[in-house]
Amino acid sequence: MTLVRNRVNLLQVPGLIVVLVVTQVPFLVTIVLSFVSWNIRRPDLPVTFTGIDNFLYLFQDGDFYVVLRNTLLITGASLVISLVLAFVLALAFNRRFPGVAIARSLLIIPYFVMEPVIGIVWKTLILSPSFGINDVVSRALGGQAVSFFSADTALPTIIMLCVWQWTPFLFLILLSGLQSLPEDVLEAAHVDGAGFLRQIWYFKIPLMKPFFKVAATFGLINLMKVFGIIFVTTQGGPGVASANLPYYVYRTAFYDWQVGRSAAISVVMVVLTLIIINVFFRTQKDVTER
Amino acid sequence: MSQKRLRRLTVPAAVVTLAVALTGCQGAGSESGDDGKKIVIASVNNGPMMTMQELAPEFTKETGIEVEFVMLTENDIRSKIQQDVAVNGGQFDVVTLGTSDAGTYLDSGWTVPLDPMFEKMDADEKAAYDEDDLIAGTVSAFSSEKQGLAAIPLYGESTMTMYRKDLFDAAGLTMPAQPTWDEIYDFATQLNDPATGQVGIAIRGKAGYGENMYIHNTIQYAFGAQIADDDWNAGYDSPEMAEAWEFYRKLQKDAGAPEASSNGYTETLNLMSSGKAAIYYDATVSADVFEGADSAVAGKMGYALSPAGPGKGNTQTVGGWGIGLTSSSKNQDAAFKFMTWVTSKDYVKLVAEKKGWLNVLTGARASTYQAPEYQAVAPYASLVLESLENVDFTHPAVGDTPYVGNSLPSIPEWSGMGEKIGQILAEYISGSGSTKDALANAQKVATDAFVDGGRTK
Repeated sequence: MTLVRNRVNLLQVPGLIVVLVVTQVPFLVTIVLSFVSWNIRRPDLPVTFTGIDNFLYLFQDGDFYVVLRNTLLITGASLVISLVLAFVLALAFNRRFPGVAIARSLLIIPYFVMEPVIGIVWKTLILSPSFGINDVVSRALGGQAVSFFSADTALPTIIMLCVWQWTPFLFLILLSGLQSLPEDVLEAAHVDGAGFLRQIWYFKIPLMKPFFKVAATFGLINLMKVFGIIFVTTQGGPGVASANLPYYVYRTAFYDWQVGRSAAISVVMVVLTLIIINVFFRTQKDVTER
Repeated sequence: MSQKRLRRLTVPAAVVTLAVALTGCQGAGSESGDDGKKIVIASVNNGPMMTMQELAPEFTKETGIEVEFVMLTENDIRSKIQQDVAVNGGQFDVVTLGTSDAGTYLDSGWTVPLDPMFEKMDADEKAAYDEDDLIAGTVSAFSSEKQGLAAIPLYGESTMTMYRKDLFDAAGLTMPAQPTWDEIYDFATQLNDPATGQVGIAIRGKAGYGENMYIHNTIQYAFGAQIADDDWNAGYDSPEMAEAWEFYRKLQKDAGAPEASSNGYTETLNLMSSGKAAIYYDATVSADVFEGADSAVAGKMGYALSPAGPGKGNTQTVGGWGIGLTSSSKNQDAAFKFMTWVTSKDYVKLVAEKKGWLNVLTGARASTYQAPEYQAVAPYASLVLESLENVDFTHPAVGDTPYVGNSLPSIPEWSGMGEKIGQILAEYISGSGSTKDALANAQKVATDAFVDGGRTK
């Protein structure tokens, strides 16, 4: 029996190797690269080991802090707004009315649309001040088109698009949570005179904590790595007003062609992600255990 | 799922994973054709290149060589080609290169020198190809100083002023043959009318080393500024540069499109061709679009030379695309055959026959401009040829520069520093920050880039 089990275990080795090679090796390489100076566009300059120069450069780079702040803002604001919206929508759609199935399907469409498509449609067809619905509506109201991608508005616009894309998915999770709530508890609450809001606040929200946790986790993971929307709408601009860390990594690698610096940003990003996820899970654990 | 069931699944899963991993490894090697008769071309996806893709079966019919295309937008294809050649990936045989890249690629050993390949041609082929017909200004932009021709020009373009004659007539304005930037500002502000959605001037504002910087660098030269002096000291702290930036912001704010910082080549082209703008300053090839069948402004357009400034006239740029041959190509002869086919006189005729004379590749061959059929459909033909022939590729600025190239300096640092300065410029025109701060940032970016590149301490 042990022999058979050992053999079966052996069969898992190739899979394990593949997983290791595709996940851990690139990360190790990234760490190594973060200590070298290497400009791809200049094959005449040697690739040299420069110690922590790349990290020093990064921490002295004013743009980096703006990008860091943007990343936290995009992730935090989009997550909170999406969760609230998703919960309100889940409450609204957790009942039977004619056409509810169609309405629910329509609601989750944004989740199935690719990020670049969302970006292009919103940028050129809806928000463009020259060709978009923006222009038509503003004109009909007698004003001038609103600027959605200027220095002050680009970041809120990106957050809005993230909310638009991710609310449906969180809505799905929360809706399934609402539908799995024990009917008898809610009925008892109703009989004891708990009104609509009290039912939500004292029963539905506490009972749904595991679902909020799942929704928030998925939301967090996906919102921290938003790239496509930023790439096709603002390219991180104007300036770095709407750039987040993933986009900044891309720009450093494929416009500056600075492999080392780009790797250093990636390393910082991974560390940051680990910290955030850790803190996040710890607070979640407290919440569920209390 | 039970333990037993899980274990039963592990075996096939492991086999499948292994199989996928193995085929993955194999696939990477056998890409570039083993019969030696297939070439892969990485190309930007603009109009002339789409035509090239469409007509490539004719080449296959003539030679039996199969041609495969990878087409992407400008920024994306530049990046993709760079990634492939830098690691000697060998995915592509033929690549489209811009003027700022061609020389660098050859000097870096990523593409092969083309002069020896032309010498290998026999007399008949040479006569039919007629290399001397290629416009000298364009050829210089696609050459390396040390190793000669780096890419064969597919088409060349310069910049010029394009405007709506009907609007100018209605307003009683006249565009001079050689306008100045001050005149352009006056015309644009007079014709700007936000109430009706008419934009005074459609000019790029979107960040990018090949977007706003491509156009703004010509303005910068017109005002007498340059990105570096002869010793590689960055030039963003000069009063001329401040004047050029202030003028550009004033022009965009007072007469440009709303949210100008999100408009690149495509967006400004659409503004003009849909009749929403009065003046347009950009690449000469855009004129083909304005006179084309889908244009709302066909027949209403007037053309003039690139605007001059207080510093310098004749600041029009030379840009466009050439095709180079990668050093990693395993089918260099077949690839070269395609390159000479698509840049030949016969190809011009083929395009004219299949797609009409407005769609032929221009800016590469002088003979194209001399064709009466082309002159009939392109009233601006002589102006474009004049712009191209007078381009100053080696002395773009008032003072001496340590680099060649007009609005796309031919230095490898340009993509990185140009991108960042482009972002600073886009932010500058869309906000109200001080010129001093913006230029101090730009100066730092440029200085860092020159230090990184080992050009200055």
